[in-house]
Amino acid sequence: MTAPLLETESVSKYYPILRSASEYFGRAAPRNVHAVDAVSITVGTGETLGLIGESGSGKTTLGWVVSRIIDPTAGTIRFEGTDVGSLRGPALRAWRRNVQVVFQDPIDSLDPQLKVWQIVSEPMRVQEHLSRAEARAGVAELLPTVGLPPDCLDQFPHEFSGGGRQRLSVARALSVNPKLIVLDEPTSALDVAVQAQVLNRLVRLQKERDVAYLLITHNVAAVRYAADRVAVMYLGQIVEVGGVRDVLERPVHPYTKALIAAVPLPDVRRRRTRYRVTGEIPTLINPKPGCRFAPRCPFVVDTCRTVDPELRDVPGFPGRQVACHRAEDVAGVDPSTLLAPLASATEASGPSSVPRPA
Amino acid sequence: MASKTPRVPVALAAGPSRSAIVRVGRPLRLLWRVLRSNPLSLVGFVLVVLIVVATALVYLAPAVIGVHYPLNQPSNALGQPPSWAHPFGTDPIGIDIYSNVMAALPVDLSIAFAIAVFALVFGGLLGLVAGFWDTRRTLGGAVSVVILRITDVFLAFPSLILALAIAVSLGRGVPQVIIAVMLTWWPYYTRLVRGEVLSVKHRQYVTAARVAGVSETRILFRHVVRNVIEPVVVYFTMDIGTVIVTFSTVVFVIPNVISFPSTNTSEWGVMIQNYQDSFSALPWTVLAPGLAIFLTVLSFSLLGDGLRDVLDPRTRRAMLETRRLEPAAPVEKAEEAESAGPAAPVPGTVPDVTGPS
Amino acid sequence: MTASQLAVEGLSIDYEVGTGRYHALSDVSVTLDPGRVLGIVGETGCGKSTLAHAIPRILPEPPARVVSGRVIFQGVDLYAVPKWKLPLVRGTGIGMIFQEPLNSLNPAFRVYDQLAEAVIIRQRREAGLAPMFRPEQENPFDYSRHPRVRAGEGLTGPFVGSVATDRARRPRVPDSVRGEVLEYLRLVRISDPESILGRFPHELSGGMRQRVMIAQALSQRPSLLIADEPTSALDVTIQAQVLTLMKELLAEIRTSILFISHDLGIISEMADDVGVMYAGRLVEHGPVAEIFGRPRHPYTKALLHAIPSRYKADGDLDSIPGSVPNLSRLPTGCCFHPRCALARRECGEDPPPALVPVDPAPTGRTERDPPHSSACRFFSEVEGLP
Repeated sequence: MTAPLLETESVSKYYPILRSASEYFGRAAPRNVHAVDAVSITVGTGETLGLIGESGSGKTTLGWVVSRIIDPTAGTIRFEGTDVGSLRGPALRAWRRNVQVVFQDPIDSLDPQLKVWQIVSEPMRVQEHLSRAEARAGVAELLPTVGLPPDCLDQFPHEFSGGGRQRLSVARALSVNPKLIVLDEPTSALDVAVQAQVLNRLVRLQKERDVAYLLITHNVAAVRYAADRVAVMYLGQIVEVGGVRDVLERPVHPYTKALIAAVPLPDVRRRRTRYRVTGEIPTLINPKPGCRFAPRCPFVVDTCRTVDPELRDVPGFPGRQVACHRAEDVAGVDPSTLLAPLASATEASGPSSVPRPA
Repeated sequence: MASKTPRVPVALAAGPSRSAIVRVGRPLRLLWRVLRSNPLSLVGFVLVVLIVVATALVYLAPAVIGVHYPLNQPSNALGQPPSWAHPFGTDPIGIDIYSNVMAALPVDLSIAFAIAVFALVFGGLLGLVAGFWDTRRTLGGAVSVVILRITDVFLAFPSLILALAIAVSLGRGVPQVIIAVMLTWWPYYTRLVRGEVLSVKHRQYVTAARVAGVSETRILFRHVVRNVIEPVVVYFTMDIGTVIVTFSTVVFVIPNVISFPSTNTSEWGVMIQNYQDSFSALPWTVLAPGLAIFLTVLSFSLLGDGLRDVLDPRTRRAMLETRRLEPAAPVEKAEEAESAGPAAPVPGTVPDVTGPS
Repeated sequence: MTASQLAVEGLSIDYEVGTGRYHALSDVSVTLDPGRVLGIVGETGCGKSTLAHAIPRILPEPPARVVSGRVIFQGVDLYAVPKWKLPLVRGTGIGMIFQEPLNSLNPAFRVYDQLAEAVIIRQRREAGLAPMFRPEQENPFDYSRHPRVRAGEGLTGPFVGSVATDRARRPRVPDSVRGEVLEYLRLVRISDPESILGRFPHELSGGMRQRVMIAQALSQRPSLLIADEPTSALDVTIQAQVLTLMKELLAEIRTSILFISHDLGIISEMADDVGVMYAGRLVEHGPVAEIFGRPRHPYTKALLHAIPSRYKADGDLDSIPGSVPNLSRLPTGCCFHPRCALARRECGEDPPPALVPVDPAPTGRTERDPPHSSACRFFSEVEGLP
C-alpha cells in the first residue's frame, strides 16, 4: 500500500499565554492555548478531506501547520512518506511547490499593489525562475481554467468581485501544479450562487489535475458536496472521521449530531422547533482531562468528565472513527432529536411579567 | 442608464495594448480629480508648483523674476517699505530684501530635501528591519530591539532642542547644522515605517507569498515596502515644511553659522536673525522671510494632505474613472462570466467592495 | 390595531459616489403587520441592508439619496419629518440589531452601562421626562406636554463608562434600572447575568454578545425590531441557539420584526412573510410556506436550488449563471432577465415588471397571510422549471 500523500501523526500546536512571574520562575505550570491537540489525519492523492468545525476547533491552525506556515509544537508531518516538519530555508521553499494554500479572505490574501499577473505567477516565478514574458503567458493560460478572461492580466485585485478574487487565489495556488491544496474557508465570503459555482469548479479542477484538497470550512453543505472523507473537529481535537456520506447521514459523535442539527434548512417545519444543545464554545487553556464536549453534550455521563476519549473504531460503522465513550449507545440517535418542539407560551421559561412593547 | 447586453463578453479595455500616453494619463487624471474635490489641496499643489518654478528660475534665470545679484549690493533706497521697485522693501543699507528672500529659496528647499531624504532612507530602512525581523529571541529580534531603544532615546527629546544641541557641539558651520538636523530627523521615519510594517506583515498576502516560497528579504521588498510606502510619502511631503522650519530656526539661534549678507547666497533663518533687532522700525525685513517660510510650509502641508487621498486605496478607487467596458453576463447561458468593476456601496461606509448587503 | 405597523411605499434610494450612481433600492413596497415577522432575503448587493437602514433613516444622507417613496411607521411618514425629530422614534419605536456585535456594542462601555443607558432612556420617556414618539396623538412629536429637558439632564452619570462595577451598586442609581437590566438579561437566557454586568464586550463570546445586543434592543420595548443579519457572524451551533431564543421571544413579546438574512434556511425558520430581493427590487413576496413550497419567480426558485444539498457523485451543483449586476448599470427591463431561464424578448425591452398577485395556494393560508405576489410576467411557468 502506498503511503498517503499527507499524513500527520499526533500533531499539536500550543500557543503560550503571557507568563506571570511565578510561571517564569517555574513555580506554576505554563499556560498554553491548545489550538490543536494530538491530531492525526491522512489525505490520499487526489482526494478531498473535509475538515469541519466551528471557531476554536483548530481547523485553520491545522491547515497552517500542514502547509508549514507555522511550526507544530509536537508531532510529525509526513508528505509522501518523508518527514517535512524539519525542513528549513531553501529546502522548505523548494518543497512549497507541493502544497499551496487558498486563504480565507479574498481581499487580504492578494497584494493590493500588484497586478493580477504578478500575483498569480508569483509561485511560478519563485520556483521556476521564469522571465516576465513567460510568466505572463503562463497566467494567461491559467486564468480561463478558473473562469476568468485571459486579458485581465494588468488589473488590480480591487477591481474584481469577491468571487473573482477567490478565483485569482485558486489560480495562484494552481500555478505550480501542487499535489495538495489547502482551502481555508473558500466559500464563506461568497453568496450561495457563487459558492455553487466555485465548488463546481474546484471539483472539476480536481478531476483534471489529480490534486488533493484539504477543505477547511464550517459549511457542512460544501463538505457534503466536495469532500470524499470528512473529519469533524472540536476544540483542537478530531471527534469523528469517516466517509462523507456516512458521517453526514449517520453521525455517531454527539457533536457531529449537534452540528448537523444546527444547520438551518429551508424547511418550513423547522419553525416550530428549538435547538436543544446549550452552552458556549470555551477557549481552552490547559484543558482538564475528560471529553471536551462534555459540558454541552446531551448524552453526557460521569466518565465523560474525567476520562479522555480516544479516537477508535465503532462496530457497525466501517471506515469510521469516533472519540466518544458512548459511541455504541448514541450511534443510532438521529440528529433531529436535538430539535425539540418549541415550548408553548405557558411553558416558556421566562420571567412571569413579560414586558410588552409600548 | 442601463447598459446594453452584448452577445459575447467584451474584452476588458485595460491591457498591454493601451498606449503609453493613456497609461500615464491614469494617475494624472486621478491627481486632477483629487485636487478638484479637495480645494485646499489644489491650492497647495498650485503653490508647490509655483515654488518649484520659482526655484528653478532663481537658479537658471534670476533676472526673470527680479532677483538681482550681488545680493548684498547697497543702494540709495535706505530702509524703504515695500514698493514697486523693491517688492519686499530694503534694509538699512539699501539691500533688496526681495532678492535675498528669493535667493534663499533654492538654498532652504534643497537643504530641506536633502535632510528629509536622508531621514526617509536611513530611518526608513531601520524601520523596515525593526518591524519585519522582530521575533523575540532571534538575532533579528535583538537587532530590532536595539534599533527601537535608540530611536526611543532620540524621540524623547524635542526635535528642535536636540538639533540645536547637536549643532552646537559639532561646531559652527552649515554642514554641521545639516548633519545635526539629519541626526535628529531619522527616528521619526523609523517609528512611522516600523508601525506600518507591523500592520502589513500579518496580512494574508504576505503569508501567501511565504507559501509560494518567496524568501523573506524578497517579501520585505516586494510586498511590504509597496504597501507601506503610501503613508510615508504623505508624511514626507508634509515633513519638508517642518524640516525647513527646524533648519531655519537652528540657523537663527546660533550666531554666525551662515554669513549674511553675502554676495550670492541667502537663507531665511539667517535673515531673520540679522534683522530681528530692527523689527519694529523695519518690520518687512523680518516679515518677508518669515512669510516665505510660512507659505512654503503651508503649501507642502496642503499638498501632502491631498496626496493622502490619492494614495489611500479606498478613496482612490472611488475617484478612478471606471469607464472601461466590462463583460456583462452573456445572453446565451454560458459558463459564469466575471464582471469587473467596483460593487455597490454598503450603508454607512465609503464604497467598498465587501460587507453585508 | 388593524392598520399595519410599517408600510414602505415605493422606496427608491440611490447612492451617489464618485464612481457612479448605484440604485440600491428601486420601488420597494412592503408592509408589516403588528406581531408578524417579515423576512427579507437576497444575496449580497440586493439592497436588503439598505432597506434595513433606510427604515429608521440611519443611512448617511449623502451619499445616499432618497429618490422617491415613503416609510410610514405607525401612521407617520418618517421621511416627511425633519431629521432631528427622528431620535424620538428610534429606540422605543424602532429598535435594531446588527450583524457584528463587536461593532455595535461600544467597546469602551461595560455591559451594565450599555443596557442601563437604554433602560434609562425608555424610563424617562415613559415617565414624561423626555420627549417620546406618540403615534396615537395628533402630533406625534408634540413636545408641549413635556417639561423642557435641560441640557445635560439626559446625560447622567451612568452613561460614562464606569470605573468600577461598584457603580452598579451605588445608592444613587435607581434600583429599578439595575433590576430591569438583570431582568432583560435573563429574558435572553443568560444564566448568570450578575457576572457579566461588569464585563466589556470583547470579554464575552460571540453568542453572548449577540444576546446582550438583543437584550439592549428589547429593553426599550420597541414596536418594531429590525434584525439585520443578526446571526451571520456566529458559529453554527451558537446561531441555532440564538435563533431558538428569538423564536421563543417572538411568542412572548409580540413585537413585529423585520428579519434580514442571506440564508434561506434561517428565513424559513423565522419569518411569517417573506420578501425576496434582487438588485434592489422586491421580486417576490408572500407567506413563507408558499414562497418555499411554490416559488413563483425564477430567481427564488434558482436560489432555492442553488443551496448545495447533494454529493459530488450526483453531478454538478445547480447555480445561477452570470453574476449579480452592478447596481450602477442595471440591465434594461427586468433586472434578472440576463440570467433567467424563462427570459423572452419582452423581458429585456419592457419596463421592469411590478409585483402582481399570483393564484394563492389551495390550502394552508390563514387570514393574516398577505397575498402572494411575484414580479415575473411568466410566473405561471416557474413551476415547470427544473
